[in-house]
Formats: sequence, structure tokens, C-alpha cells
Amino acid sequence: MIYALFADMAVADNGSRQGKVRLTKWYSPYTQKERSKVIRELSGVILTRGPKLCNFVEWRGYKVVYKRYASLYFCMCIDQEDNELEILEIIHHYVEILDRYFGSVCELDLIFNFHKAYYILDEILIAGELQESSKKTVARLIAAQDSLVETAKEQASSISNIIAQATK
Amino acid sequence: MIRSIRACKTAAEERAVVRKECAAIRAAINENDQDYRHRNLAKLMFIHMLGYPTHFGQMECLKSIASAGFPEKRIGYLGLMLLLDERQEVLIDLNHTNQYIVGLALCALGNICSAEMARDLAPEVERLLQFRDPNIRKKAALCSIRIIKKVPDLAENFINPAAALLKEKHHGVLITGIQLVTDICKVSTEALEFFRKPKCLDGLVKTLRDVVNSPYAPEYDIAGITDPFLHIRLLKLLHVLGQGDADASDCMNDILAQVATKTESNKNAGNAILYECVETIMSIEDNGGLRVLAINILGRFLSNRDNNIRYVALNMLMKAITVDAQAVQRHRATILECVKDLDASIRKRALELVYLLVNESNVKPLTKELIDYLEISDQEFKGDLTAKICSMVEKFSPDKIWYIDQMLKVLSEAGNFVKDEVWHALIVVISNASDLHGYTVRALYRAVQTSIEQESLVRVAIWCIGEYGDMLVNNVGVLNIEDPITVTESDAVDVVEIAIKHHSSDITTKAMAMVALLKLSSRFPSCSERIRDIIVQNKGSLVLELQQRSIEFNSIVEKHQNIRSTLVERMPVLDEATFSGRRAGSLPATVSTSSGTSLNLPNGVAKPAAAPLVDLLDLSSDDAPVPSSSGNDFLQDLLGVDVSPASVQPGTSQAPKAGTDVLLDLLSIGSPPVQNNSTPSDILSSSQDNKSSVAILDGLSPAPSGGAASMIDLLDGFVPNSPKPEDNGPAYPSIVAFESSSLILTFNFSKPPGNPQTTLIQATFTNLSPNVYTDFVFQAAVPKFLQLHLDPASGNTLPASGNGSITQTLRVTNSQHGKKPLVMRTRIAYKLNNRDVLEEGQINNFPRDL
Repeated sequence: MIYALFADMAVADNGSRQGKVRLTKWYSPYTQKERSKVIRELSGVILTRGPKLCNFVEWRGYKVVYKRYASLYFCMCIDQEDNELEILEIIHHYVEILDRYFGSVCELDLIFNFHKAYYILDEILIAGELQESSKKTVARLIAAQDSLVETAKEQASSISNIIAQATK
Repeated sequence: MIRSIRACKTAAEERAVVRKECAAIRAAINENDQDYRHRNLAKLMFIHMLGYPTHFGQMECLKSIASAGFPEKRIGYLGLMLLLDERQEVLIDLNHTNQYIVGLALCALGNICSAEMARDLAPEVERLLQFRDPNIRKKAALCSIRIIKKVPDLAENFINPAAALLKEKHHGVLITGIQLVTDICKVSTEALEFFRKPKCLDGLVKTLRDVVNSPYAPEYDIAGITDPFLHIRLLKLLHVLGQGDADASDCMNDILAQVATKTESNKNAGNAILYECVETIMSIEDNGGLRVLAINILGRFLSNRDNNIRYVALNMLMKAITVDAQAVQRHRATILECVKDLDASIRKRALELVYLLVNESNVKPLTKELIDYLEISDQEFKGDLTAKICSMVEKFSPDKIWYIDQMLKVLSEAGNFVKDEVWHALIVVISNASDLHGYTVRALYRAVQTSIEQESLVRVAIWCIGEYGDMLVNNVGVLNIEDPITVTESDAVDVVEIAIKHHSSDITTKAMAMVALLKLSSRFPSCSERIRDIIVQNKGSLVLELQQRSIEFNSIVEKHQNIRSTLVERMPVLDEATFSGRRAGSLPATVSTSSGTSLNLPNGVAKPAAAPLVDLLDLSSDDAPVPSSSGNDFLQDLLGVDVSPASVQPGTSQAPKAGTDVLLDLLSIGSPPVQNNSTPSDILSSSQDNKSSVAILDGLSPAPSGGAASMIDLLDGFVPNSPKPEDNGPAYPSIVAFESSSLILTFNFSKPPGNPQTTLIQATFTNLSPNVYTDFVFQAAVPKFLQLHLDPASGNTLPASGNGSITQTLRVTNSQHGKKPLVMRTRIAYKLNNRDVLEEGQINNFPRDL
């Protein structure tokens, strides 16, 4: 079971080596304090690892799997029982879907469209377990939901137009 | 808004912008603004991610969810999952017609539901497991997982729907269905039985086979393998089902073999599948061929260039050792290479694995490799490495000389990382290897020349030099593998002096050095003056222990040469069996690997945790030892005291009495309560302010403050005292307590009024020989239930041929008055023509009712 996932930037804007977190998802209840503590600690451990080292770290009895894409580290905290290599694949799966969706995803996409990143994540993982292994299906579902949002917005705007016209 | 926040250059600026935004949002909330609600929520979430508090937005989330529009719901649920957690009670609309909304609800429920919510909504979710839309079905499946994790009792309800899911074609549903079944089986044994039935199992095997053999499917393809995730989930389920059940395992053998051999391993996806396959093979019931296959795969992994692969291989091999140690041994060389890897995680894993592989036949080459590596390893790793090497060497060393050699190497290289119990054990072994004493002390001498900054090495060295200094100087017991070396007495003293004065020596080392100097002053009389000078330098030390030792030892060296040699006689052999028995008893024997499983290893390797020093030190605070307590037994054995038959330790070594009895008797003078078998703990209990472990091993030197002081006083105070007249009428007959050809000792008894338990004894010593006895000293020891007090003797010169006598008064209190008679051991020392004479005896003929 996956306990947490977060995407962390290697170097912050002002040049300090402290990671800036772009995305976090928690599949177990943790208080706000615990969460920030975890993030701080793990960032410290992971961001300082050299490039040639293996992608697994042991931390407090859990395993943490991380993968680096450009300047962004995707980290997942898992059980002892889970298959680390598979988790690497899951991370890659997610990143590939993001790529397809945003078209050559970059970090700015994640910043300005964080809610969409979360929606996609929710189609891939629920309760810490994998939900869908087909990228096409996920893309289809997200597209369908997006179109729902679009039509709803159009309706809303057209109604407000009408009302605005009527009450002028 | 995001842009404006990102444009902020400093944290303060950012805070200002955020505050403004929050204010705007709050205002909008208060006005119940519908239109921008979802935008505000999105802003809120972003602000939350930056780390600012957003509690005021939580109601907004709920309102958003409750509203009708899809966008609001979507963002509302997202907000729900991000900002709230399972502690909140939330209404969920699982019955909505819009399947996407149901999907959202299930997703939220899956991520954050609490136990009560789970109970309430379980029937709904169960129904949704059979919904027509696969999207909902898969979400419902994962949601069910959460439910049964929160409320395990509900698991049975889900068995049937879950079984239906296993027959799905849609991969997403299949994956989630399999996951659900796996989790149900983990929670409920009834479910496990159900799914183990051949009907289900065959179905699963067939599914796996289909996936493995399926042609290229672009939708699910990853690195040339169709849906590796499905592969892995199926393997995991097979693992759960096959574990512990031979029939089930049989069913799986073929397909597992197929997966193991056919899967390509040049990409991570393939390796992930192989890894899971190996894991499954290792856990199900034994099938020799499969296991060999699995271990071969692991062997291939080990030589893979990819760090990740090697890491997981090492992990798996640790589990594999329980199953087939032989096969793993074959890969020992590769594993050893991994210990030196650049990657810290790999090093750690490899070291643990190597440790598990050690046995009698390979311990020598392995240790050599590890010690070589110790020299070049980096600091954080040294601690681990040292601990492992020490424990390996201790458990498997074939002979003592090899053990001592290895330990010396380790101490020279990394003495500062060595734990105290390790060098204690080394000293125990050294003292037991009597033929190697000379060799050891010479080797230590050489080692110390080069590695003086390794604290533990220095400590062991000065202890040995103190004990066996004469062997060092006189080249006793030279083995023919040794290089010749000449060490003069002053060289030996040099080493100890350096140890005392070295800036990095701590209190323990300095204290040990003092004792060593005392021993040397007796063994090397020519250096006595120089030694005294060194000792005296610490007279004003700010550390109480050092000051105390300095003053006492100085006093011994100066004034009490006659007893000095007996004080620092060679220590009796420390009993190894007792020592290791104590250690093993007080240490938790756990083997912990990162995988969390505790292994019960066939070759009996138990990694000792750091032995609490307190265990050894506990002995020092025991005042009234019980014979069955092993701690005190150790010391009683140490000092060779007669242990009562009730004691637990059979066959303890009775070490030479001479040295130890002196101490017993010395301490029996003037210090109540004097007890026969608790004297060792008296030694230690009176030196309670010295908490260093050294107290145990060096405790035989009379460091106790109380006892020693009084002893020295008594020895100093050979002032003729007029014997106190006792005029209670002789109610008891006097006895001849001790008689030899040259000496008679008579006891006269009287009872002081009012205290029936106490007896006053007047002892009279008469000299029967024609020679004068000088420096006459009488000492006595009594068993536990008696208390003895000696007054100073009337003199210490006994004229010849009975022309005079010495008298001394003794006071004895019998706590078992009426039940047990008095009994006493005596020791009389005197000088005859400047020759020391010692007479010992036991007095059993006390009148019974004293």
C-alpha cells in the first residue's frame, strides 16, 4: 500500500537547496504537523542523494521509492511488502499520462494546473492502490470529465448572459 | 493569482499576497458567492499546498460538494480530499445518476473514509461493485479495500462480489478486483479458504497465463510486456494463496516457472515481474526446482549494473537464506563485492547478508576481506562494520590465537567504534588463553606503538601490560611465529605513562592505567620509584576516582610493600562460560532485517544488541547477593570463593585461593558486616562512585574507600594497646582455637550484659618456637550471619617460647543466635627471621550456644 506521494523540486526559486513541494497526496491520516515533518525529513534525505545511487531509501521502517524527472523528484512511501520495482513503474505510468495530457509536461504545468494533476492521480490511485493500468482509459475518463466541466461552464455563462441582458 | 504569488521575490512579499487573497476569499465566502466558489476553492487549495492554514475554507468544500453542478462537485471533492481527512464527517452522494459524480464520491470515500462512514456506506459500495460501468466498478473495488481495512468484520460480505470481479476482462477492474481479493484474504481466513479452492485458483492461473502469452496490445504495453501491473498483482495474489498450502502451491508451479523463464529482464518492467515472481516462489511451499530457478535469477540480478536491481536482489537473498542457504553461499563472492559498493544502501544490505552467511568454514577469508575493507571504509559505515566483524569473530573463531589476532587488528583500525562489551569479552578470552599471554602482550605492545589514539586498544593493552608485564619483559612463552622483540621494564612503563598522559585518554583509561602501574610496581621493583612519581601526579586530580586511586596506590607503594605483591598477584582466570552466559541472557537476541521479518537462522546466529553496561555494573550495587543470581555467581567464580551448593553454575573454576583470601581477610578487618561470600560485592559496593566498567575487572585491587582506609589504618596502627579487661564472668569455657607446632591461639568468651547475640572474645596468641615473631597480624573471616569486629592487637611482636603473648579482642554478633554456632576462618601472618610466614585455619569448636 502506498502511504504518501509527493513531488518535490530540487532547487527552490531563490536558489536554496530546500525542496519546494509541488504535489502531495496522503493515503493515510496524518496531522498537518506530521505531514510537514515527513516532507521535510524525506526531502532532506532524498534531495542529497547522488545520481548514481539506487532509487530506494529506507526510512523509519518504510521504504521510499523516488524517481527524478528533470528537476522534479517524485517520491512514494510504501510498505515493506510492496514491490519497489513496480512502484517505479507506477511513478513512470503517472508521469507518462501527465505528459500525454499536458503535451510534453513541464513543471510549470504542474504549478498552474495542479488540480488537474490531482484529478489524473485520482484516476490512477485510490486508497494507495493501483486503479488503472491503461493510459488510454485514464485519458479517456479525464477527457470525459473535463468536457462535463466545459459544458457546465458554458451553460452557466450563457444563463448569466441571458439574465444580465434581461436585467439591464 | 498563482502568477502573482510566484512573482514574489521574498517570503514576506508572498505572505502579504496570500493574506490579501485569503481576505478576498473569506469575504466571498461570507457573501455566499456561488459563481466563484470553485475558483476560490482552487485558490484555497493552492494556498494550502504552500503551507498556509486554510481552515476557514472547509465549510466551503462541503457546500461545494452539496451543490448541483459538476465542476463544483469536482473541485469540492478535491478540496475534500486535500484539506480534510478522515476525521471529518461528510455526506457522500453515492446514488447520483451521473456516474462521474459517483466516481468522485467513491474516490473521496476511498481516500478518506473513517470507520463509521465505512460501516454506513458499505452496502452502497457493495452494490456498486456490480454496476454496469467498469469505471465505477473499479473505483468501488478500491473503496471496498479501504472499508475492509477499517472494518475487517465486513470482509465476508465482499467475498462473493469480489469473486465475480476476478472473471472480468477489463484490465482496470481486474487489477482492482485482484487487489481486493488479496486484501480480503489477508484479513479473513475464511476468504482465504474460499479463494484457494481449485475453481478459483485455476481461474487465476489461467488469467495469468493469458496475460503472459497475450500478443502485443498497445493499450497496455509497457516495454514490450503486456500490462506488467496485472502480472504483478496476479503474482501477489498467488503468493498469498499459495503460502502455507501445498495443494495450492502445486497448481501454480507451472505458471511460475513459465513466468520466471520467459520474462525478459532488460527493462525495469520485466525485472519487476521477475522480482515478484521470485518473491512468490520463495514464499510458497517447497518445490526444489523452482527454488533453484529463483535463486539463479537473483544471482543474475546481483551482477546487474543497475543499482536498483542489485538492491532488491540483496533483499531477496536475505529471505532466501532461510530457505536454501547453500545456494546463497555460492554467490558469496559477489555479495562481498557489494559490501564495497559506492551506494550506502547497497553496502548496508550486503553487510547484513554477509553476516548471515558466515559459518565456521568461511569465517577466516571473510573476516580478512572485511578487515581489509575496514581500513578504507568511511566513517558512518565503520561503526556497523566493526560491530559485525567483532561479533562474527567472536562466534566463529576456530582458535584463540586467531581470535586475538583479528581483534587486535580491528582494535588498531577502529578501536573507537568498538563497543565496551566487545573488548571486555576479549579480555576474558585473553585471560583464559594462558599459553598465549606472552604472545598477546607483546602483540599489544607493538600495536600500541602505532595506534595510540584507539581508545579500546589502549585499554586492553594497558590491562595486559599490567597483568603480564613480566612476560613482556622477559620474553616468556615466545611462539615461533613471532618476531623477536626486546622490551625493557622502562619501555613497558613508558607505554602506560603515555596512556595516562595522552590527551585523548578518558577517565576509564586513566583509571585502568593507574591500576596497571600498581601491578607493574610490584612486578618491576626497579621501576618502583618512577611509577610512584607518575601515580603521585594525579594526587590532585579533579576526578575523584583518579585522585582516590592515586593516593591509595601511592600509599601502598610507599608503605606496604609486604602486602603489595599479594595484592596484585596474577588475576585468576575469568570464567568464559559464565561470562558469555550472562551476556547472552541479558541481551535480546534478535535478527532484524529491513524486510521486517524475524529470521530464525539455522546456524544460530544471533546478533547481540549493545549489551547494557549496566548489567555488569549491577553487580556493584548488589549488597546482599543471592547465590542463584547469575551476576554474583560470576564474580564469586571470579574470586574463587566457595559457592554454596544452591548455586546455579556447575563446575566453576576454583581459582587459586592465595590472592583472593588475602582480600577477604583484609576486608574483614574492621568493616562490618563481613560476610564470606558477599565480600566480592563488598569490594564493588564500596566503590560505588566509580561507575566505569573497569571496576569489575580491576575490582580485585583494593580500591574501596571504606575498607581500604580502615585496613590501612589498622595496619598503621600497631600501637600497643592495653587489652580491655572484660569482667563478665566466664560463662563459657575457653577454647584453643588454633594450634600449630609454633603457635597457639586461645579464645576466652564473655557476653556483654543485655545482648545475648553478642560475644566478646579475648584472643591470646602464644609463641611456642624459640624464635621471635615480628610483624604479627591476625585476620579472621566469618560467614554471612555473623558480624565480626576486631580491636587492635596489643602488639605485633610475639616473644619466643611463650615468654609473652599478644592479645586482641574480637566482638562477634550472631544473628542466628541459638540456631547456628559460631565459626571462623583465621589467617595469621608474621615474620620469622625476616621471612614471611602464613598460617591459616578454621575454628569450628566454638561453644554451641554462643
